[in-house]
Amino acid sequence: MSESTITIAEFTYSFDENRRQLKDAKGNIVSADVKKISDGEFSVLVGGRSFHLFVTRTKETATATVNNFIFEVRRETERDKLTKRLQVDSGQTASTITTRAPMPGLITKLLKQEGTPVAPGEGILVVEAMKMENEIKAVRAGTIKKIFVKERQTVEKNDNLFTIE
Amino acid sequence: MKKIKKLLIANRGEIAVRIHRSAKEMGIQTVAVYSDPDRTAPHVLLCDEAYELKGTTSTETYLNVEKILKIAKDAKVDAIHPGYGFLSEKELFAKSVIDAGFIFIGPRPETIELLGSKTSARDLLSKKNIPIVPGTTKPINTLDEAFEVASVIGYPVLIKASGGGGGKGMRRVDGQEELENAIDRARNEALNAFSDDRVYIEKYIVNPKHIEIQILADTHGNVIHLGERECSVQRRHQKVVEECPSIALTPQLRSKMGQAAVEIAKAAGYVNAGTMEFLLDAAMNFYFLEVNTRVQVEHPITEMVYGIDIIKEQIRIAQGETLSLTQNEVKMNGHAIESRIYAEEYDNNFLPSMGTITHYQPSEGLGVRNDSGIRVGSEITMYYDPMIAKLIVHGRTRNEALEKMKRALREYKIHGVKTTIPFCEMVVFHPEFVKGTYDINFVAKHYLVPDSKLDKHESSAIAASFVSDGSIGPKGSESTVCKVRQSKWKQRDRDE
Repeated sequence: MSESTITIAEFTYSFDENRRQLKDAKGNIVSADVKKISDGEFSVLVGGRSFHLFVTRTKETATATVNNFIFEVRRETERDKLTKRLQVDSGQTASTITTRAPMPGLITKLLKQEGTPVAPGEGILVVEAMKMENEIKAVRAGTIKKIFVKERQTVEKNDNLFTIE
Repeated sequence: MKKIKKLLIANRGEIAVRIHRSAKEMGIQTVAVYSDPDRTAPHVLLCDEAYELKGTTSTETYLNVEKILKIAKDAKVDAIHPGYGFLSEKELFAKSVIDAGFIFIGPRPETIELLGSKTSARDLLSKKNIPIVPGTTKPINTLDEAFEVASVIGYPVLIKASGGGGGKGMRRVDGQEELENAIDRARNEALNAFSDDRVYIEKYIVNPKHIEIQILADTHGNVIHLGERECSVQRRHQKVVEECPSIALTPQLRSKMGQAAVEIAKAAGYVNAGTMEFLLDAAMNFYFLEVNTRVQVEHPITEMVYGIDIIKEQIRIAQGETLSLTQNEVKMNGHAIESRIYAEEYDNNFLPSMGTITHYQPSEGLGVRNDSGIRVGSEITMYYDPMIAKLIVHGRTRNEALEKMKRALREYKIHGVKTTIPFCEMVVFHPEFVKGTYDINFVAKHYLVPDSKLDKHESSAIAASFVSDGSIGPKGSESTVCKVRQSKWKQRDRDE
């Protein structure tokens, strides 16, 4: 029988295929009473404490809201594992960094062009969402290798914006 | 005196709901208008009638004067309440409403024009005995002019939009080299937000408190003030937590600032509810900032402390009635605090957080009020303001109100978007807020929250709910390793 593990901050748990018997890192059974209230809403009693939790799932992530703090759990994909292995193998970090859109919005202005050298913190472009303009800045020094967007283009969250080499 | 029987609410969200409630209590029929995404919004569900504005963006819908007036005519309303934001401070809208034969619930168009342009307001008051922040009384036309003005009044300066508020189009400039870029950015933001790209320059007063005075003025020349609200907790020049009264004001100072606000109202020929904003420096000097010629977002804290329904007063004034009380009858009772709940990433520089509200259970109990514009199923989109609800508490003392706010924030359940609730908790637990000595740089100085470090039981509860929900689990025989991204607050480096 295969066991799966889940790591929440510094705590790692394991559980079996039937999703019963949550065990902590030492192999002790965690006794948690979980009652589903409505879709994605749970009451969990653990260690004498009462938690009212909300869970949302997307394809690759799940989020839990506890006391209005949100925790995100991501399923580790084969690609993630590969990337991690490659990084370890080559012993260095990637030489290019791609910045992605922090929120959906409209590209109102490109402040720099491809091929321009930039310093960390320099503004590259402006994204407008909910009437606020947000300048997206270079995260490190380098040269702008590629800008993926045009002015007046709308972007979704996590769309590629630009790559710095 | 004309009794209003049917009222069109030209707004959305919590303020549309708020206006509906007071109108209903006065026996007035209510008419909602809505954009496509707002078809099932709370204001549509609550009002007696609702008509579509067709479209999605603000320009197509809540800012579209023609469509709103057409609905008002077809629905045969007597009056239009603009709420805040959108068309509330557009003198042309007020004028069109009146010209079309309806009552506009707000000041006269000429007053909105006079005070709505902050430069003409400054111009008017510089002739009176009201202290104002040094700066221009006219919009800046050229960059050369901007450089000259800024060097005369001295850096740091603040670039502000002539046509609006809410922090939009506002930039702090610490030196000459930042000026051009800041003006460009401010103009763009102002143009998008208010269709008016005029900006002006003001001296940046270091470490002041933001104190504003609520006034009510009827058509018979009576003007009263309902004390102050302190709104110093701001991020990006937008208010987040407000309280009434302010710990900084003695009864003497309250009366002095209140009198100044009444004088401003009289000088401008003001009618209806309004707010005079001031900066109060450490030496208790106050400077006039601007007039908001509409109901304020944070008006409920004044309502709780003074026991007066400001929306009802607005409607009565618009009907031509005299104020329901005189200055001597204005009595304070206890203390109120408001936390604004924005759909924003509290752990990522307050970027907008969009999504669908999947669970919603606001706090309840004695002295707790929730003014909300959302329900389960509400879509939070990029089209409108991210403020989704306001949590207001009232206690007999400031301390009781503080404890109540701590409790109510913890009790508030909302899921589907990130909100500013954890941020508001940081504020009300912070020793400087508790002492009351904070100023408008509070967020910049203390942008740090007791981090959401998990203990063993909390992490077990999360793991158990994930596993039970099937959110995370084995896929075939392959094991799954998941990491939680901790929601930690970034501590900003400060040079101070």
